[in-house]
Amino acid sequence: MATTMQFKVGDQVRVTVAGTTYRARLIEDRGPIGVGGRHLLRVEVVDGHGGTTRFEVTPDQVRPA
Amino acid sequence: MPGSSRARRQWQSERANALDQLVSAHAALGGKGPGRRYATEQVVHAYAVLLSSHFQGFCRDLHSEVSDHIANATTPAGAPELLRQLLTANRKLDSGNPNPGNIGSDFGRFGFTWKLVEARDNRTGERQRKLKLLNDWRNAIAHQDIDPTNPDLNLAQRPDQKRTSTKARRPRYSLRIADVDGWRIACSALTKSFEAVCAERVKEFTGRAPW
Repeated sequence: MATTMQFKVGDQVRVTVAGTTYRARLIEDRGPIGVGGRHLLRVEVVDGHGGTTRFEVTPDQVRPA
Repeated sequence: MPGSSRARRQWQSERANALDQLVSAHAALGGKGPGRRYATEQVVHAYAVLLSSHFQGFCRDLHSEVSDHIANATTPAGAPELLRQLLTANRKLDSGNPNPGNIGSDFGRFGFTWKLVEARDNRTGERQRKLKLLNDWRNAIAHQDIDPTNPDLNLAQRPDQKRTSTKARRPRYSLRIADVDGWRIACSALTKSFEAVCAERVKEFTGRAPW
């Protein structure tokens, strides 16, 4: 089971969603509330127009920026 | 507690403990007179705000949990990540109150409706009304805007009780701990109904019960 220990809230990270990688900011560790008790993380992605999208990912989708 | 979501287990343990501490603080306030009345009022206001906050936390946790169960059961590769993103993106409950509208909007992403909750328990309508009153009071307390002419804050509105008189009740704008206790009971009942409806929705999508 991946853990969130290598990242902390506020970190800049790279997030992969369905083959596409985004630069994102980790905004919340949601805790072990996923399937099988895995942690879920909430990230914020800034799009090219300055808007933001916030969504949840699993730790294995996250890499250091 | 097997057969229960993590969100509900947390509601019944850590979240309940946090709320109980304010109930204990209220009970521990001694003395009489205006000083005590002011102190108890502040504790009751804090209790209402905390209840709204913890119910929001429960709703967010349940939503995340359900989203992860549905996404996790999806194929092909890449689809779970995409679906998890779509189900959790820009939820109203991440920043807004857990009012009936925001709950319906966010949970509606996987086919949850208030009608499904009502079908499980015909007291849902009254609980929805209490949830709205809780959030109206939460906003009034947080924004220091307890307006005694605002009908939305009138605590004397009790459509769940049979009227024994044709006289209108006197409006009441002084929040009591019993009011918040009543809202808490309604929220607890809703956690059970939400969990059951969400389990049905997950089973519908994945073929398996999530908990």
